[in-house]
Amino acid sequence: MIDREGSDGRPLAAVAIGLFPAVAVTTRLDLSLALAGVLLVVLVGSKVAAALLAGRIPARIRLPAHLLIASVLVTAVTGLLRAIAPETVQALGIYLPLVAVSYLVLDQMAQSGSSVGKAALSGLATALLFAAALAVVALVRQGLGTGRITLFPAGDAHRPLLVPGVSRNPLRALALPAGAFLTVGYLLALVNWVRQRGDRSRSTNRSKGRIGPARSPGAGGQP
Amino acid sequence: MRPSFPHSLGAAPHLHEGATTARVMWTVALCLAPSGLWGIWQFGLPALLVLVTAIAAAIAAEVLVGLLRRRFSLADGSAFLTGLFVAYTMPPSVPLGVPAAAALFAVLVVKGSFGGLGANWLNPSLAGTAFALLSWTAAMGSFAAPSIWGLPGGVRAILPPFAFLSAHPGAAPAQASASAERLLTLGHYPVSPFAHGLSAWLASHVHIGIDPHAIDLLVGFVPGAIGELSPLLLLIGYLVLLRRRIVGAAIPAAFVGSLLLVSWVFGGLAFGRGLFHGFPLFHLIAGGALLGALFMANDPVTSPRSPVGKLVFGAGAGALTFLLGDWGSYPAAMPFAILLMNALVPMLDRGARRRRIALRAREALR
Repeated sequence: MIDREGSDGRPLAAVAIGLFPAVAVTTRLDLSLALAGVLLVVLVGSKVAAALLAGRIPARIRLPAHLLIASVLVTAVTGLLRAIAPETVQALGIYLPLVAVSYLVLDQMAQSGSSVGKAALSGLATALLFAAALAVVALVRQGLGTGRITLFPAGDAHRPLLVPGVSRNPLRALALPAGAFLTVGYLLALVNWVRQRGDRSRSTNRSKGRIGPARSPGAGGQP
Repeated sequence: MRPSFPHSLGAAPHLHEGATTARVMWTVALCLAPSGLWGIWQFGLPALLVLVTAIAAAIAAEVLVGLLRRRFSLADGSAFLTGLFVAYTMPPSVPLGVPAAAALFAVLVVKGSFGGLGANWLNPSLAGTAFALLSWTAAMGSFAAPSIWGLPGGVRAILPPFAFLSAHPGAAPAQASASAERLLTLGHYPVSPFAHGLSAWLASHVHIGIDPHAIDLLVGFVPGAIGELSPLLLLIGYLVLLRRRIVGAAIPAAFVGSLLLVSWVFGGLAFGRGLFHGFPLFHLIAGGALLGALFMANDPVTSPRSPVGKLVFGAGAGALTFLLGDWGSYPAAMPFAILLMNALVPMLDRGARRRRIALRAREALR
């Protein structure tokens, strides 16, 4: 399933675009995981709803209708999360409701088709991919940028984990927005590199869902 | 057109002055050396260690990039120069991890990841310095006293002249005739014996009154970053490069002119003196502005090609250096100023290229 998602490329591109608002929350690992969890519920729920309603919604109002569904789900999940962990909701701030209008959710909803099972599974896969990406970025940014990793919200009795060797003199630039773009950029570069090696071993001329500007296979840039 | 003599002509260029990339790099390094040696003289072993660490880290990173790309380019001296520049912007007492990290960042991220020599869009060494400024602001802001002052060994936490002035706006800020050096004297900022003696000699024998602090600032007996101390040595090195046509004069001229103008107009505001009462020369020689104007901003890869673009680039960098220095919250302003202008270079060059192509098209159509 993951491989099929990867070879199509579009979910990965959608994940990449959805990552950029998320650079604000990757300063803390617990916030990233919380956001990813919210996205999971919202994505799977909206995709299932879109699949159930496929064909019943006139094409003209498809986008507002999908938006409405997503917003309802986000509101519900936010309310639930506020009851469980209010500090997390407060720390996430505007980025929680932004999930509702994120390109990721809406694009995935548009692709839902009519099979509920397939929609749910693909939503799950995309959300897990997103969670993995967020977790990696947050580990790097919080671990190297502040020297400590918080797995649980600040209000708990748990203390943050200290990263050995870095906690006394962290690379604070990574915790700043500049560090966010650096980390995300290198992550995308890594993903592109892995995909390039995979595509080269599979000798097909299929157009690649590579992230970044369109480029012909021969022009790989100077070594 | 067939040549009339027996041997063939070959393709241009026909005359090569022997200026390879390596040659140019090593010449630049040679012209920068006096400034760094001065810093080592004033601050001793710590400064030397910072220099060695930064250069070693830069070279190691270049080797790593070469291994990853299976193509080595060590001999062209660019890694050495990048490490040198990074070290020159570091305070002498900084923990060695900082210049190492800055140099690694400069070569691996800014130069290597974007395509190596000639393909970077930001000045690598300045980006490394900026990385250090963002990550370890406190370490980058603590300076040591120069040895010439004769203060008890290892005096740390002394403010460089500009920071000192900002911290002590002066006993008589409203005095229109008060210069920056006068304010330093009023604040009892240390002076070197050499400057003291020279100032007294000039006053008595030639009847020119030059504040001893001004002499200190010009010659380089002040706290500061390792390579930014001596405007005199920097200027000499730059003039040598200018004479050998390795660097141009447009960008430094625009940089210096813009900095002098803007600091004259607005420089007094931070000290409560109103407009048109700034300290233009002080802003130029106290700090990293001159190193940036003469060497960093001149980097051909990250500066515009068109003449107008160069002037705008230099002017913008100079104005930003003043702005970020007086009102910014980081110990150094020059790196950020030049990096910001680096980012605008494609925009500055765009108008020029299109105009030239249009001119050529018009010629062809005639």
